[in-house]
Amino acid sequence: MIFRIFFLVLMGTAVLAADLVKYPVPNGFVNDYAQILSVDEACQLESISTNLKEHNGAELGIAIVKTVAPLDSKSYAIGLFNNWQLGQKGKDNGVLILLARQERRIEIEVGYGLEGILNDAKCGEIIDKFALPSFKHGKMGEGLIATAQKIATDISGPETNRPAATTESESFDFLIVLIILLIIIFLTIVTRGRFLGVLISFMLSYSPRGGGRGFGGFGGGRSGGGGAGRSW
Amino acid sequence: MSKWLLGVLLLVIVCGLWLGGMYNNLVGLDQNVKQAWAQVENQLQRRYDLIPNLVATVKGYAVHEKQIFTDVAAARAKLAGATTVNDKIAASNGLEGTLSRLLMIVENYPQLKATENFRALQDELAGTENRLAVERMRYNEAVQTYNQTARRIPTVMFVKMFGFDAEKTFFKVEKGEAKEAPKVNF
Repeated sequence: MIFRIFFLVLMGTAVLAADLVKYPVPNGFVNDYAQILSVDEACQLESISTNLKEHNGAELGIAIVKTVAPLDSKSYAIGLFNNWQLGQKGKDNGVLILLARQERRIEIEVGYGLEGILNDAKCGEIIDKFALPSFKHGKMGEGLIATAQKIATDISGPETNRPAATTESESFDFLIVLIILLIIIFLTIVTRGRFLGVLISFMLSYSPRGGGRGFGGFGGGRSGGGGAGRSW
Repeated sequence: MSKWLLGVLLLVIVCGLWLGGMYNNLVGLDQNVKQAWAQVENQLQRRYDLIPNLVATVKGYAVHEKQIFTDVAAARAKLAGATTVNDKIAASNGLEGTLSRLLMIVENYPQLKATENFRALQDELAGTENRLAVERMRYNEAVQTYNQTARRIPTVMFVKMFGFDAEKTFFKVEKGEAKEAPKVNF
């Protein structure tokens, strides 16, 4: 640990310090930690992301934080993206829109797999055209929805015709479920029902973390610093 | 007699397995470093490719700043000529310094900064710098893991024999330059 801190000091860049920051746990695609969205706006954003995830597989996360201190906003965006792991594993098709209220800054952070569709210049242009005009009038929700909508259509455009690559993993999951079911049935028969009782009592006592909103986290994607940012 | 032979044989097998495990571990770590370095090189190449565009755009507005264009061209050529990891790191740091000077000059040309073309270029350049920072960090992490293993006893005694590097080089950013490295903000 001491060596690690020394190493961080040695390298002296903010990006490295990203490891040391505690990032919040996501509760869904839209996470408004600074409470600036209305319920309606948050729902609209959530449905944009849910739609995109369903039809394309890409994961669009939105985070609004009070401050990114002690990092700069880009380093925070990179750190948060890789902490949440937006996008499917192996495809890295995630996008994060980060708003820092105190710093008055927006960042779009793009996963490796979407850098072709959302290159840096395009991200900058999207912010200039869709986010900033509303932001300058204080309409944060409106600007965010327009930005998210534009990103979602840009991503799903060329990919809508391609079948989602999830079929393989779904059949795999199904096989695992089947095996687990068979094991449970087998153990129940062998222990003459006692195992099932233990299992049920265990499940009743187990409470899932995250408040039970049913959000299972993001897929395991990575980003390497692509995207753009602006102050407003 | 045969008991002795069996004991020696067993010892040889155990030692062989142990050395084999150590070797395989080093192969994995070595590969990680190489892979991370390839990513760094991708981003260096990306920056290298962006520079002519940037220079061409700036030249249109800043006709009189001849010196900086020569400097950038020279630094870029140096990066192209570098072959070893150490040379590339040095050349990249040099290029970063001249690039930041170029961007400082740009500050004096507000009309240039207002053009859409230049804004797009600036986004690309900023993105490349950010990517480079991330890949540099990941490379350094891979190097750290490698060095921690390779320099420890007992691995340190066999590393050379196996034909691996005794130690890998960190990608250090030179102090002053890191701070003023092409930081493109709006």
